[in-house]
Amino acid sequence: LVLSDLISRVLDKGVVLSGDVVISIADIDLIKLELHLLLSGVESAVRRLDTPPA
Amino acid sequence: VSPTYLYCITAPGAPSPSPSTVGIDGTAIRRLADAWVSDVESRPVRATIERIRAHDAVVAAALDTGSTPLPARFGQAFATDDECIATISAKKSLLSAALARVAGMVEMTVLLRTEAPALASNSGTAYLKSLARRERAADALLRTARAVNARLSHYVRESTEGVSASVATLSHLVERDALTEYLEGVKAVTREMAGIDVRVLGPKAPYSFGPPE
Repeated sequence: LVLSDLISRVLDKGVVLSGDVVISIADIDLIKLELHLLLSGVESAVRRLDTPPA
Repeated sequence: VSPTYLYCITAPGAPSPSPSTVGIDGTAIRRLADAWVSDVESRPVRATIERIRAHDAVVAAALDTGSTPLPARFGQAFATDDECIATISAKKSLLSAALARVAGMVEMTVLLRTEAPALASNSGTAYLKSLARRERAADALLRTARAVNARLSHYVRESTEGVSASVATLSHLVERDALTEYLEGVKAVTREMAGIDVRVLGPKAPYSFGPPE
């Protein structure tokens, strides 16, 4: 639970300055974790990629 | 030229990183204008657990200086220092306002966890009923989370909440000087809650209270 909180916090919160943030999840270790939390982070990263920088 | 990776933005006049502070892949942390950055090999920076931990550790080191930083989201690497500085400068007023909002504050997280009812698969009706039970459990957790927030409002400057089927995450912006009272408040509020596992995390830098995107 603590690790999930860390991952969702660092991947999904905090200041976004750059319009071209790319988060690529390649690590198997990461994917083994709480998938629903991880996926919410990935989903929001993909949403950001789909949205052109303002 | 190595890309410049951004960890956090600090208030003007905040202390610089100590020379022993290391970031992603063991890189040395340095100060660039009001930001803490390091040189990374290439971009994009792929997310691994080690790197996520390293990112968070640098932000925690900034918080430990006594001045509250604005954490950057993972993965922001700029082609050059100049590009990093220019991007920060372009959002200066937004960032200044956000830094003022969190000055003297830390983020605390209360995780409330309950056992989500299992979904039945033996028949369509059973499935729908179990789905309804799960929704009721999530509603109950949300009500509990809101009640906890209401009872803690005296100690909390701002709060956000996120609820899934079995976990409610309450993020609180709390004055550094009021942490003891806050923790006592959390203990008092959660003592009487049956069937809910309570975890308190923090103090952390205010990841949940940055400027609007």
